[in-house]
Amino acid sequence: MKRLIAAGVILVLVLITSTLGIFMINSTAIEVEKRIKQIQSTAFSDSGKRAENFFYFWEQKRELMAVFVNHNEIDEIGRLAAKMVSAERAKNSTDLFEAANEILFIVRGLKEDEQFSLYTLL
Amino acid sequence: MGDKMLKVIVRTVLMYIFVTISVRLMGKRQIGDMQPTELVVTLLISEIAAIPLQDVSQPVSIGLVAIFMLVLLEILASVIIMKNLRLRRIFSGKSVAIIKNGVIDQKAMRNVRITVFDLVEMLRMQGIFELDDIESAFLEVNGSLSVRQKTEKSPLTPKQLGLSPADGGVPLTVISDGTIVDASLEYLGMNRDDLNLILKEKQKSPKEIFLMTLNKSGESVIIDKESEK
Repeated sequence: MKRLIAAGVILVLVLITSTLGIFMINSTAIEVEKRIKQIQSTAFSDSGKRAENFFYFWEQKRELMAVFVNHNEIDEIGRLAAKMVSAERAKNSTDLFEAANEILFIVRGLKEDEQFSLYTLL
Repeated sequence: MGDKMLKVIVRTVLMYIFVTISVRLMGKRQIGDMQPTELVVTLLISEIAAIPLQDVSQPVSIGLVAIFMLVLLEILASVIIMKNLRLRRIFSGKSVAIIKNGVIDQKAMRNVRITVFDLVEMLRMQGIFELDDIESAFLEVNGSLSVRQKTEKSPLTPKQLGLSPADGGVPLTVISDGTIVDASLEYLGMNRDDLNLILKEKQKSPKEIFLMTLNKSGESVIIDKESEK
C-alpha cells in the first residue's frame, strides 16, 4: 500500500511538471509568434522599438523556459533577438527578417515537440 | 570557478538525491538480487541520470520526469506481478529446475544456456564440491542457484540428534563505535538502563566500545575501541 501511495505521489508530480511545462512552452511560443509577426508587419514603419522590447521580453522568459527547454535553443533565440535589435537600429531589413524567421522556426519546433505525433514520438 | 562547473556540481547533487530517492522507492531488493524488470529500470535510470550531467544544455526536469516515470512503472509492475501469477511469469520469468532427484536436466540447462562449468562454479560458491551431494537445484529468476542437498549429505541438525539448544535469537548491534543503537534495544525488548546494567557488570562504558552485540538471552560480544595514536 505504501508503495502504491508513493506511485500515486510520483504520478501527480510527473503530471504537474509535464502540464506546467506544456503550458509554459505553449503560452510563451504563442506570445513570441505574436510579437515576431508584429515586428515583421510593422518593421521600420513607426518609431517603436519592437525588437528591443522583444529582447527584454525574452530575457524575462529565458530563466523559466530553461527548466523545460534545451538551453542551446534558448540561447539561440536570445542571440537572434540581439541581432534583431541591431538590425532595427541600423534599419537593415534583411537581417531583421532573417532573424525573425529563424526565431519563428525555433519556436514552432518547440511547440511541435509538445504535441503528440508520430514525428515527435519516434 | 566557472558557471558551467557550478551548474554541473548543482546538477550532480540534484541527480544524486533524486536517483537515491528513486532507488529507495523501488525497494530493498533493487540493491541486491534484481528481477529482470528491476534490472532494466536500474540500467535506464543510470543512463538517463548521466545525460543532464554530461550535457549542461539539457534541462534537468526532462531527466527527472523520465526517472520518476520509470520508478512509477516499476512500482506498478511490481504490484501487478505480485497479484497476477501469469503476468509474473511474463515479466520476471520462472525458476528452472537444473537438477531433479539428483539427475542433471541437460535439456533445461540448454534452454537457460548454462554450461557445466557455470553450474559447477555456482555450486562451489555455495560450498558444494560434489555433484553427487545434490538432490535438487533451481536456477532462480534473478540468476542465483538454490540448492537442496541429499538428506544423507546434509549437515546434522540438533533436532535429528534429539537436542533442543537454547535459542537466544539474532544478535543485534547495540553499540556501534561508542554510540548506543536504541532501535536494536527496542527490538530486543530492552532499554538503556538494561544495557547500562550489563555494561556495569563488565565494567565498561559505551564510549570505550567499538562494537557490542546482544541477543534476547542477554549473551553479548564486546570489541573494545583501539586507542588512537
